[in-house]
Amino acid sequence: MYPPPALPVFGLLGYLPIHAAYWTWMALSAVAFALALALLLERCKLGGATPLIVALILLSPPVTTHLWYGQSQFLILLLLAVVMRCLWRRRDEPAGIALAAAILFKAFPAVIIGYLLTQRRWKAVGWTLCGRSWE
Amino acid sequence: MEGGRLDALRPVLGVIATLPATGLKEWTEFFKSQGGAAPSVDNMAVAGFIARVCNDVFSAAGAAAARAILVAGFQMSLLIATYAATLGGDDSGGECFALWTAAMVATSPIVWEHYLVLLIIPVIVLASAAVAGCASRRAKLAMLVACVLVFAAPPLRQMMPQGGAAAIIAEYGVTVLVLVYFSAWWLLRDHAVRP
Repeated sequence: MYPPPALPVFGLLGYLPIHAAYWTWMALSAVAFALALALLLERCKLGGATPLIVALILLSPPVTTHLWYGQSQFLILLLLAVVMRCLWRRRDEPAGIALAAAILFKAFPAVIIGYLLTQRRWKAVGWTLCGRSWE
Repeated sequence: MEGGRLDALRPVLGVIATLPATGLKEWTEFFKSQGGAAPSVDNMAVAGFIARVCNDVFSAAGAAAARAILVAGFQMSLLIATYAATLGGDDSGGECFALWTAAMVATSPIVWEHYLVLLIIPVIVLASAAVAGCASRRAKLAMLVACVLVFAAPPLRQMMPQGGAAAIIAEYGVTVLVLVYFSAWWLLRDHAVRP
């Protein structure tokens, strides 16, 4: 279920021929997934276990199903990874904007605002709500 | 601190002031459409599981009311517990963020199989803690069982005839969500200082 602000993203793809739209979307998804993994693995060191963990993630049924149906969770995963990284680097503005983008695309990431509140990241909360009001 | 809170309140007031002019009707329709947690067995959400149980146990009218109460109660309880567990806690290892990510997926009214990719965050945070030697045994065990279920349940479900054991295996998604949440919870609560 997508909230109304997600429509322009798919609307833009609608201008392309169907095969071009499909491959554009798949390429975007793949890049988002790769970037999300890179961001998470850069912060959470796995040492020698990295190849094994990455291989298991890539072969897992949720990832293959996601690719098969051309779904959109990789974009949410990337945005959450950006939020995580920015907060660790004490950069609340981009973290808030990335979380707002995730909420505009799907409603359920709004739960993460609770995390910002518990960590007393008021600035990030403010930027999330500002970004959310862009709709 | 007070100044910071006031800074955060200003954008909130801005949102409230602009919301009616920027598509309140569309948002109202969207939230109305979220009411019925899809009772399909493919919906792995806890809300979907509750909806299926209610449909089996109660009459049509009673099922809707019981479902609404139980789902709201579950979501509120989980969010309050998550909030209490992470309030003001140090998150240098990402344990708090991982718990909130698990809570986000667990409280979503709809969770199809591909939604589980979002649980990569708690998986990687736990793996990182395990490599550093500061993940508790029960946190690792819960995640291990969840991962085994994610890999084994879909092919098992296809191999089995309808009904009986297949119906139980079909509910593996709810078990995975609960296990990942508890894994993240125990990782946070049993947290040992990283070397």
